[in-house]
Amino acid sequence: MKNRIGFVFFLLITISSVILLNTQFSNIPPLGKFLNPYNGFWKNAETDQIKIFNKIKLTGIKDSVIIQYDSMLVPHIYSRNDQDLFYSQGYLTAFHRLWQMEFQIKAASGELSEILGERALKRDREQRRKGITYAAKKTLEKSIEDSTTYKLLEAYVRGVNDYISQLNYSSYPIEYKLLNYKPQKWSILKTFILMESMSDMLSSRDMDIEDTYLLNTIGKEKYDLLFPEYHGKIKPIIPSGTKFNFKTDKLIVPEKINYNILPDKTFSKQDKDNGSHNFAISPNKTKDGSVLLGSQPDLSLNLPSIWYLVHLNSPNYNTMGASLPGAPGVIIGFNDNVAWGETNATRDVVDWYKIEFKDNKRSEYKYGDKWLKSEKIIEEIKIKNQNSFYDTVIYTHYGPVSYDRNFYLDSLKVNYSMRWVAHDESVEYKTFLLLNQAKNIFDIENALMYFNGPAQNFAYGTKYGDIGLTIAGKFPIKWQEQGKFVLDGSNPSHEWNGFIPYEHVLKISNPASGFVSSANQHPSDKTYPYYYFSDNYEMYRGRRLIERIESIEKFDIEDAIKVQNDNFSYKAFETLPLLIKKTDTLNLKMEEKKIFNSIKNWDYFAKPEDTNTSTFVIWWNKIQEKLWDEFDTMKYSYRKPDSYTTYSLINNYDDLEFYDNLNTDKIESIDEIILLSFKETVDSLNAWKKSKNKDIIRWKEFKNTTIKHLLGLESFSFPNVDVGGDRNIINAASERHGPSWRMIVKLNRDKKTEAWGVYPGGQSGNPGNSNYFEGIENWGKGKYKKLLFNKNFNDNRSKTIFEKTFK
Amino acid sequence: MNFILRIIIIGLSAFYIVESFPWWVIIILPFILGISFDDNLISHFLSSFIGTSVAWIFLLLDLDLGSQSILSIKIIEILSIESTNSLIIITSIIAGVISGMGNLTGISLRNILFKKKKIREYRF
Repeated sequence: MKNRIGFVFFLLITISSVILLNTQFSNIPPLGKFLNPYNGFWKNAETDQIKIFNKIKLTGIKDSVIIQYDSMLVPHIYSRNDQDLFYSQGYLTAFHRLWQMEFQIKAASGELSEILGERALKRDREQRRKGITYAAKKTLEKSIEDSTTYKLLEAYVRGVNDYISQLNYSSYPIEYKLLNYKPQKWSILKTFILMESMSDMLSSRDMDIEDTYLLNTIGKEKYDLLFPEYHGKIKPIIPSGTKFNFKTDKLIVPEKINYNILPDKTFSKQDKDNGSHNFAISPNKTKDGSVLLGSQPDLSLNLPSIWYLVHLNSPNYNTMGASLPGAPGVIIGFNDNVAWGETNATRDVVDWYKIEFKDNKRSEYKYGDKWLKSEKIIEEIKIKNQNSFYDTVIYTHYGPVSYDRNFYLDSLKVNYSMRWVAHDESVEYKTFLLLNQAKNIFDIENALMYFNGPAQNFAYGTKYGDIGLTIAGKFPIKWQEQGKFVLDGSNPSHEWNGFIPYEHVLKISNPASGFVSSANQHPSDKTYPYYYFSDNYEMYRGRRLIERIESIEKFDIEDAIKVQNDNFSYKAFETLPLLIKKTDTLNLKMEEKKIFNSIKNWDYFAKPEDTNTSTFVIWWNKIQEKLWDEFDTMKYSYRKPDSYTTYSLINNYDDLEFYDNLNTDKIESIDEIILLSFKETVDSLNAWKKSKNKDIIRWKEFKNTTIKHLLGLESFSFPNVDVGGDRNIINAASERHGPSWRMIVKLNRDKKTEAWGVYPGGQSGNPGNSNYFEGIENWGKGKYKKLLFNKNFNDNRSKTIFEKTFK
Repeated sequence: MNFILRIIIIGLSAFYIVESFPWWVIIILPFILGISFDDNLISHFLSSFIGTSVAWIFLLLDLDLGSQSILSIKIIEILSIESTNSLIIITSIIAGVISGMGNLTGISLRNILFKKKKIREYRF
């Protein structure tokens, strides 16, 4: 008996310990599985790149493929047909970035709870209610029509899946082991979800509901004063004075209605600073008569980086540049003949329609004098270690009814349906595949015709000396102020009035000025015959970029690099003299005076070592906080006037009701607010110095630019990058956001295409790979690497670290 | 079977397990040895514990030194462990205990299957 008890006892202990060590508890990975030396996390440490490259097995190719890696770990793929080319791109991208590819899709489609648990549920519901997967499915249906491109997409997907099928627990990327889940198969739908997530990042930000609320609260006059559509000082992308040789139909503005019932919260907003800059310089403005193209997308700074560099070569392609892990082809790059780069064309392409359902079943909604049928989609959100959450999302012909009685709205009668161009079928990927093969400016324009997603400013140049910029995308035709506030979904005259035809789209080629550029500013002046609007036109980078390019008579590569890394704060240059003029210096104490004198002599450059930038940044933030504190008393979501409007109001009005600080009994003047804010700034600076134990405040240390791992894990992230710049500065590196890829391409009729680039991260997305943090320091310092780009693989040989022919 | 010999056999087998097996196969050999050879519990436990722990320490040190701690220093931060050495020691001790438990399960099964003669000899 005693023996039996002993046996059962030991057996139970052994089995239960094994089970315990194979189970995940909250954020702690299953320790036995994770820590063991046979296939645990240790196997993800990669210091010998060649050893890892030797694991590549391209099993699904039809003909021979040559793969080379250069010292930056950029793959150079030389194939004999396009299918093998994109198969290899899929395989090799997954080889370095599989976890990120899948995680981004899960995040976009609202399936994060499946791997992260309940903490991701709110975000997941938002993504479902935005209809990201719904949009991707529409594109999928459309894409089948074009069988050539579809086959290339299929080849890419096969490549990713062949890589996944070669994996076992030991070779899973580290994040799968940490979170204890397995990679799932890739699909064309996932590639389209990725494209939709880019649209989401760049175009889903809107303020319609916030603005309607503000309009109801403060009235039209004050609203227009605080949120003007134009400013006198704009320098639009298409230069002012450009003639538009077409007329548009006059649109009748229907009667507007007051909307009193609004959602009390809205979707979490995409980062206001998502933007970019690009430029193309024509041969008559460069030293050696080449064309120069610069492109720098400013996005959230993450690891693994949003971009993956590739060089694709087949009889039809020879292209290189930044690709999106999960999508075939090159997104920002160049080939033998042309180069191109995009910036976000910030335009209001999301509108909200008020929907009235017939009854509680919500199966019909009012439209004119009819009732239209709605469609119900039941979204199952799987949650790790819990039961699934079910959310019913109703679709009207506009799109998903995002806000209803189940989500942010406490009303049976009023619902809001989203109308977003990204929900329409689109074939953006085709644009990129065509651009990758483009030979001249006509090919580029032809490629851009297919770009019917949320708009982008495409700047481009060719080796024959042409430069141009097209604002391509799908633009709804709107009457004055249509969609700025919520619309009436039951009124057919509130519908969009079709889309702007491609020949009326804003574009410019070979201008006399010798350059084109864009930085998310206004696309044109008011003379453009179509109404356009955005709450988020950037007022500083665009003006600086234009003035900086104009100031350089003849460009070479060094000048282009200097432009991309320009730390000049146009905001400070414009705002600070006004603040200094209005500061009552008699009321400053000794220490305050010292700091005041220092900032008075500042050159407005936010260099990494600069000691004045932090003073200005805190001071200006404090002034804005105090000025717009009236807004903080509002019950619903709202927005505050932007930096430029604030400056121009202070400049133009000595007295405004908003100047008063609500926290005090007396009524302040703007001068008092400025002085008080300055005093508080000095206090904050001192507090910072004390907490960090430092004598001086260097801008880079105060700002603390951090490149963060997608899971936010500190040890997988890179803090305190030695980099200058800030938001609203061309070198847009703020705390968590900034230039995600810097590229400069030189095109010359008589020479091979040359290109330079750097991005804050490594090609390998594996935190255990010695390449993981690779580009970050050079990126901060503005040190670019020359990209290896040859049509013939033999010419690469002196600069590659690995080469293998697959058959 | 000799205590030292058992340590060596268990240690070597733990050292040469291939990556396609799950980590808990480390309990199988100690379990078999437990069924096959009669000895007291402490001796059995210790032979497995020492064999497996030492094998894991060597394996882990090799992995850590070979990779210049490139990943382990990041992992210890996530798991709030002080140093990579502590991580290696803790991991090895856990492995030792688990394999020792496997061994004890084996010997206690043996005790049921083969009725043990009363042990009368005492060793000093």
